[in-house]
Amino acid sequence: MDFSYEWHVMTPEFSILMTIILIGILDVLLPKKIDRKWFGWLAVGGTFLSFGLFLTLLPLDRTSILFDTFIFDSFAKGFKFILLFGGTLLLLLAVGSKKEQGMEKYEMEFYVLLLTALFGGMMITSSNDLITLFIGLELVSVSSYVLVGMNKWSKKTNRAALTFLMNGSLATAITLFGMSYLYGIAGTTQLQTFLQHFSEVSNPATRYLYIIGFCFLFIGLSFKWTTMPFSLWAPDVYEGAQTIVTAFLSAFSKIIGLIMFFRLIFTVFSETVLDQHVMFSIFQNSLLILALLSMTFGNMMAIGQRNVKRLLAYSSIAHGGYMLAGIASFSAHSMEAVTYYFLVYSLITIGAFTIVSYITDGNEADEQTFTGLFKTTPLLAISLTIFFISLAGLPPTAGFIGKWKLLISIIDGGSPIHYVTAIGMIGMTIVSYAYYFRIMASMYFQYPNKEEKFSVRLPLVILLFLCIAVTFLIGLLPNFGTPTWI
Amino acid sequence: MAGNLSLLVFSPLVFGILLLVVRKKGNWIGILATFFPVIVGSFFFHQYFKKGIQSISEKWPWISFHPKGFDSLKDPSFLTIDYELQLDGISLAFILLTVLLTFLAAILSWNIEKHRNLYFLLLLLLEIGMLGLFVAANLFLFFIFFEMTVVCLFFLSGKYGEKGKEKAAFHLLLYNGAGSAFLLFAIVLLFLQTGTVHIEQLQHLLHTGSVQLNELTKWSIVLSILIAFGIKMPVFPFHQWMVLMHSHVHPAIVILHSGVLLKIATYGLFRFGIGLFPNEWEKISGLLLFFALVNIFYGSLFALRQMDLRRVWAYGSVAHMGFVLLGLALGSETGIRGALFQSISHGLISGLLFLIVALILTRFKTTDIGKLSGLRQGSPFAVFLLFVGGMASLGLPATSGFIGEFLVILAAFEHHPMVGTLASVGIVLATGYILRAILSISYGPLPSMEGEKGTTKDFYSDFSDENKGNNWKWNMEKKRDPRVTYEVYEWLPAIVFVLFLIGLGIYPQWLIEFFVGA
Amino acid sequence: MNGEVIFFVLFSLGAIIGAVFVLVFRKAVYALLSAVLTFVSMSGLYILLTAEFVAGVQLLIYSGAITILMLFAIMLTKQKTGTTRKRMIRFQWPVIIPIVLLMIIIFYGIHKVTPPRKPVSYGKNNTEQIGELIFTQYMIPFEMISVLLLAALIGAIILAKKENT
Repeated sequence: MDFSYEWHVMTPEFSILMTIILIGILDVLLPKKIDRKWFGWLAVGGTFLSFGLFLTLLPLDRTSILFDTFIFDSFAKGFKFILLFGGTLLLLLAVGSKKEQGMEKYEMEFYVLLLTALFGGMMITSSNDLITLFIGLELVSVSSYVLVGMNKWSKKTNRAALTFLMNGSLATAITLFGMSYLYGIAGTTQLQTFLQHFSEVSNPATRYLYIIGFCFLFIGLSFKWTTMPFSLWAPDVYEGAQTIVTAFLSAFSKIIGLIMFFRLIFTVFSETVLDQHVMFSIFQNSLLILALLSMTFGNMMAIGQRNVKRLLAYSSIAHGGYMLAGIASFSAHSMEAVTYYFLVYSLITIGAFTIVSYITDGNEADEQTFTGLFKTTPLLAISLTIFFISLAGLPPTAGFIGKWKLLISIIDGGSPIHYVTAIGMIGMTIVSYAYYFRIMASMYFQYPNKEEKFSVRLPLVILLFLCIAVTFLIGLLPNFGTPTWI
Repeated sequence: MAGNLSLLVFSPLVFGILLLVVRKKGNWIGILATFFPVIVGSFFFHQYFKKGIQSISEKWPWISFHPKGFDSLKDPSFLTIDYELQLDGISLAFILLTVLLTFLAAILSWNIEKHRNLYFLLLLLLEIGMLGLFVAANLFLFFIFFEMTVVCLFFLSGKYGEKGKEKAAFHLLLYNGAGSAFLLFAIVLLFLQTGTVHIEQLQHLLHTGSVQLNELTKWSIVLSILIAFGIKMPVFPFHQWMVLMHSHVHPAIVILHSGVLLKIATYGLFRFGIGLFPNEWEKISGLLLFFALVNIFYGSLFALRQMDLRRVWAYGSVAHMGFVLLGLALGSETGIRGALFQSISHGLISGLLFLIVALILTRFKTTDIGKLSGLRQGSPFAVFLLFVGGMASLGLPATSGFIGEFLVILAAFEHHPMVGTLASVGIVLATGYILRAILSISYGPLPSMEGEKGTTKDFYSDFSDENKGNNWKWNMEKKRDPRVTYEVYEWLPAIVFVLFLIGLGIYPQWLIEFFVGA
Repeated sequence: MNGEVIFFVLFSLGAIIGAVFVLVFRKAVYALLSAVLTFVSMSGLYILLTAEFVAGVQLLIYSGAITILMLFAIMLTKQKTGTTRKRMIRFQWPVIIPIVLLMIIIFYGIHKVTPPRKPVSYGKNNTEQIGELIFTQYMIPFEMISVLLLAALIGAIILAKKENT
């Protein structure tokens, strides 16, 4: 057997892995007295290295290693870019923000877990095999279970972690069950072969089993991307976890779930011409309905929330709905629209949570904390305004272009259900104004509760600047947001 | 000429940037920054008339939405959006209205103290939005600038005004948000069906029939556009937000809102309603006429029974916008010209009327008609303004209000005499509510100024306790009655408004020439 | 009905009953022992499918290592006596409806399908084949599992470490 594969396409992943090992070993070897805070910078350095290596790989055509268990194609390029970018921002956020009480001891663990999640996500983007996909997903899940539960002194966190773990393992079980069906029929875990088998299905009974398998798979995966029907865990967990971890869940692990789903649907359905697309239209309609339900549910519930983390949790359910609709519409524009939206969404979510973690500083993220923010710290207020305006999908930020692209992708589908989804999406963004602008109103129009300025920390300023600059850059010049190599 | 129009749109920022750097003298910088667009605007005015340039345009490549595997050789402009600006006579008329009103509003906001730099920055951003949407040559840009105005206006109206301003701001946001949702839907549909958002190209494609929309798509687009601008205008069932805005927000902002922002509806309906779908427009003109009449009567009748001066003006605006809609609905040349004329003239009229509101508010802290009286005593100037504004508003000859309403009613009599008659009755009602308001304010004893700290500043700045540079104290020392003395920043804009109102009334041709293309 | 079917029924009943008992038993040790029943029955099922290697691993790791570890954990930690505690899960009758529906849906699907008869060589060098696949085709996922275990290990340490704060 020939083993001379092009291993260099895995160098971005390898460098992440090496950083993990390096941090782990250093933690053991270094004496106890030395402050471990700079591990964060080490992790950031690792992602930068990975990013650099990734950029050198861009000119490559589709490359695969080991019977397609690892491929490097345009899909992988696009999403790896988003993940690395988001991961770097998250690490910067983690470096810059104050850790909660008692968490100082766990610097090493914290960064290692963030990096393993990043590693898992990157593997998902370039895997072309059900097994790799699943293990990557588990890697992200296990890392996030621990990250959520890390602050074990807080009762709220413990409850959140337990909810998360229970729901998560149930979802994993369901996913695996669905996968086993698919494997049972197709006899292979490789997506490409799987696709061939799938397109040749003519027996209605086999097709029926396929539908069951996919349904289980989607239901299980919807846990990750927090849309209906598996979204109810989100508010509790988001509220209970540390703010950095909440940012991670909302901006990162959610996107990974969607990427995995997109990979499946992309490979399985893109090149298949089923007879009149019977299978696909069934999936499509039900997914669009689920998307519609999620946006409605998320936005409606968010209006009543007074805790900003909870509010953002519901809003992230709604955004999951938008993205799901974009994927499920599966028109010629989907790929471009969804990539763009992922990038924008992770950017602005991380930005928003940066400010939330900054202001709450480990306390309850009650809306009261934000009143009169413009009076005390105008910089933070204006940044948060930009992120919220972007989340609400208003121009001239990137959020608007993202919404526009998703809408084009949805309406291009052309059937009545597409129109309904598009109208629902537009309507729901208007509903979302109600709560985004409510917070903005309290920031600008009201007196602060206490005259307290928030001190400015360098990594956070860099982070905010990056987020805002990119939001405006790709908002005003959207062609930058969809590079040619995607 | 490339870049000139962008300079016009972003001209407020040229000096506006200073607001970010310089902490003091925000009002001077603000006025300077709003004056610069006036210069740029008059430069374009000069070019347009003296040099006879009919249309100025600008274009930069911007965004492409080519799906994967799209054959770019086929038609590279398909599904692309460019940064395109275009200026013709009608845009120019609205542009001039905008720069003038913003400049005057900035002067009138002289003594805003609360976060002054933020106020002027938002005002300038709002101006950019307004200028941008009048010169946008495609729907996408139009929408971006449209949303920009909504967001800026939300912050302006929620922060600067009196009790109830936040509620007004949220009403504004949600109503306008709903409107823009419809607009967005229409734009995306059009874009996907035709592959372009450029207005002239769309006109060409739709009129020559090279793009056939099916009936459902076509009607959903037309109705979406109608609802979107119907909310903005506002047409009868959607008017509540506008009344709230008018009665709770700082008058300087209301001048802009009532003077320019409501006119976006006229502009939009003219450009995208009549302009893109003339046939469909004709089919529903009956319905539109009905709504226009409802607006006129509803506005006038409600204005008759309001006790708050600002609400009288607000419902008066509803009635006036009814005339605009009437003119547009008729669709004839006279009708449209009348509607456009009426829009511009109503912009100036409501500017003057809310300037008076500002004068009264700063002095007496109330606009309740029942409490106000005797303004004529010792203050002929205020009464003079009130009468000019009122007369223009009810359409007395020799004021600009007369020309607009006359043209609209003339157009109505051409085709639908019944409608024309009803609209004339509307004017009679207008006489009623305006005279009622003016007379009850002007006669009787002059009320005392409320409270000791009856200062101009206090009213709007609930943040600050100190009264630095208190104008009233200064006046008191000079032994002049503060109730009847006027500052430069008050009478200067007023004079400008009066000049324009009467000037346009005497020589309307000057403005109508802008609408030649319509 | 041949022997295979009889054993299949026996093993699968064992697996299901064990799983139900895990939920029902109040005492942790009993629950654990019923989990063993499930594990053993499943390895029996694997043997029926002539996957001896998987069966062996199942027995060794699940029934052996994991159960013993859990037993130690139970014995070394303080246990409340189960009599006072409420039952872990109250059985709620309405749940039965979706379960039955789901079963009908899945059963309908499986029932109608006639799996393609591929010539499969059973039982030939089963272990060798698995080994070869793991270290050639599935090397990347195999290596990823090590990272997964690392993450899980770190997590376990963090959560279980005793602090004096």
